[in-house]
Amino acid sequence: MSARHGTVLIAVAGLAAILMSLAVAFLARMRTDADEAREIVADAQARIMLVAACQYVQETARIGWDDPATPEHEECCGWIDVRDGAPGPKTLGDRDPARPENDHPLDRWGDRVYRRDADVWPNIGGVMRAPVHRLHRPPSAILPIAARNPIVQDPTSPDFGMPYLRRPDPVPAAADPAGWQEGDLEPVTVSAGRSWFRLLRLAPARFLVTCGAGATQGFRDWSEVEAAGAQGQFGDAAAFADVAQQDRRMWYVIEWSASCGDTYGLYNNHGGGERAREHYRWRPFNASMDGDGIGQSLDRNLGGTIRWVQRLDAEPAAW
Amino acid sequence: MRRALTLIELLIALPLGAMILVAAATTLRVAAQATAQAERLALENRLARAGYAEAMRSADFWDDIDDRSATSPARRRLRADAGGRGLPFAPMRAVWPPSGRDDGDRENDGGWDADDAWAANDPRTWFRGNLIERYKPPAEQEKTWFGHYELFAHQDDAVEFTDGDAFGAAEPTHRWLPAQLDGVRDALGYYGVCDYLPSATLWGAPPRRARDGTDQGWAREWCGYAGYDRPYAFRFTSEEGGCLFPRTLFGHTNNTAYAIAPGTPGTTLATEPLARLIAANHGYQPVGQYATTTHIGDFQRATMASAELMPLRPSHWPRIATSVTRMIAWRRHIASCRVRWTSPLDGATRELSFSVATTTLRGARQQRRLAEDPSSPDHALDLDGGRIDERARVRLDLR
Repeated sequence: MSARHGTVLIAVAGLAAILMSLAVAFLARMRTDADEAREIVADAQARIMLVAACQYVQETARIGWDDPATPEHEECCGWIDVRDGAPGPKTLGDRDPARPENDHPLDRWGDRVYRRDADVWPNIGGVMRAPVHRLHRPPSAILPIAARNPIVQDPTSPDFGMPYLRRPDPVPAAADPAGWQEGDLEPVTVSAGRSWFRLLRLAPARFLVTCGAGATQGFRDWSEVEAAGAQGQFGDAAAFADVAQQDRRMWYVIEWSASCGDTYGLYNNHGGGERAREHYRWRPFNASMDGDGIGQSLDRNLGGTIRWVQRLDAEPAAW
Repeated sequence: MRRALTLIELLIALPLGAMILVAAATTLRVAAQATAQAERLALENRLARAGYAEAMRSADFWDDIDDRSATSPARRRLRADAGGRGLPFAPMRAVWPPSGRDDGDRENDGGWDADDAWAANDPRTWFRGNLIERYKPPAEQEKTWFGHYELFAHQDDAVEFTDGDAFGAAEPTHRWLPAQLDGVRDALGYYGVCDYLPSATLWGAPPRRARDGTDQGWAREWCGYAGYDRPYAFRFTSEEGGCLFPRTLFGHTNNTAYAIAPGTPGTTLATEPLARLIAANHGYQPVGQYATTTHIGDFQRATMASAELMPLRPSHWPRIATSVTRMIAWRRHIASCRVRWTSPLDGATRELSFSVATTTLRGARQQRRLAEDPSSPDHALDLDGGRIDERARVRLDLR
């Protein structure tokens, strides 16, 4: 090899090395940016779980204790029962005369939904875990489209001008009524293993919310995985620890209240005859209608409200 | 033997070579510009992400308007009070002394106090009476139409009903409701009283003293006219719809907002006059369909605690600022975050805005354990090093 060839080789190798280092630096920067962006996405996903947790607490304050194996739809009266001020949820069953310390209604098994003697959800000290994902088709789902029900325009038709509802409106997402009601509860793959929340009931109406983004599905440690028999989802303890390390977690304390907000409250329709008593209208709390009509904007509240929310600085000992 | 280039070859090769050189130089220049642009975009993206994280941190912990780590009182201006009115982070006892709450009299209870949590079946949480006593002042109206609500809730021990049907002297049965309304309102301002009291609250109370200075039997601050362009006039009602009697929160915040106001245009939290801070936090802000662009601009400037993320930065870095506006509008608690960055090259400003569900004012006060007195309601939830204080476990005894 001549000196000339050697020079060319060195120049080409140098140029290749420069290009290589630029490419590596570019890829590293891309990777760093992607990691940081993923952190932001995980943070946002975890924060959404606070809303989901609050809604869960509100709905299960009164509803949500239904046993699908029975025709009854159990209904309760709040995390603090609005009838007697005792911790709930308690169903609307008969009263137990043998328990003079309280006259709590019983569920159909002769017991209260709320039991003070065990740290299991929904008792105080109990924990529930909720992986959140999108379902293929939720129960009783409707399609986000409008049904076409044209008015017949043929004057010779007996239905001329009639706005008949020949197609269901809203449009069900499944033709089979039973299947439509049951839904398809399989998670959509891309949405699974991304977000979860978890609740620890601290007090009758106070909950510690853990909001999470990641694949742990809300399991705190391997012992919980084992207790739930979910080892197959993670493999072994080391693999779970790896997954847990990538979780984004944040903690809040919330307090539920049976108090419900208003529609519009008092209203004075004083446009005419202002001394007429009927021109003062009382729009009840939690009503689905007021004097002007019925509308979805006048949302009814069946589950109470969240009185306050507090973000915690650090991971609490129990969650 | 090597042959030299011919003239024609030179005439072709030289321009071609020159063109290649020019193209290469242009390519290098464009590549350098593209690299710089990419670097700038990457920097902006990183700063935007940092701004997002900072805005979220502020929304969670409220340090943008009440810095927990600050030693200077200037960073904690919203803890002040003056003239019997407090700011959102004022210790409640500064304006509303605890003596009235600790005397064992249930009429003096703090309904928002976890140590005396209202049971859901407590009648005090379920008052649904028709509060309308009269629409016009007594001089214009001879009758009280629906009775005297003051008989059931008043802060005075005795009330003289001399107008209308002239009932004479009466001793009101309860005083907890107006005490809560006035007490928390004065202690924390309008956002604070809405944050603390239950969502079913009817916003109105009889006056503490004589009927003088009241509208239709209600304390003027709750129900009196303010004028839409006078948002800082110590008037709770926006009189939207011409309703000057106690209403629910949606009615009051329909087209107006109660907001945390850390400052007004041209000032900072440290330089804002205290009286103006008090007025801004004890007033409402037009934000709805009747609000003008001036209203909206004033609202934004008064309620956005804008903070520069990195005041000390390289001159070629964008200037980036975050802000969180906290308000109650259309009865909803809203924490509206903004991340805004301005290019040092062309001055162009870009903004990322979003709202988030997060710590409420009461939660933020609990984060700070504001009261020195452990029995204070602000100690309702004492979280220390992640340990849930036993006091947080509300008594489990059945009532």
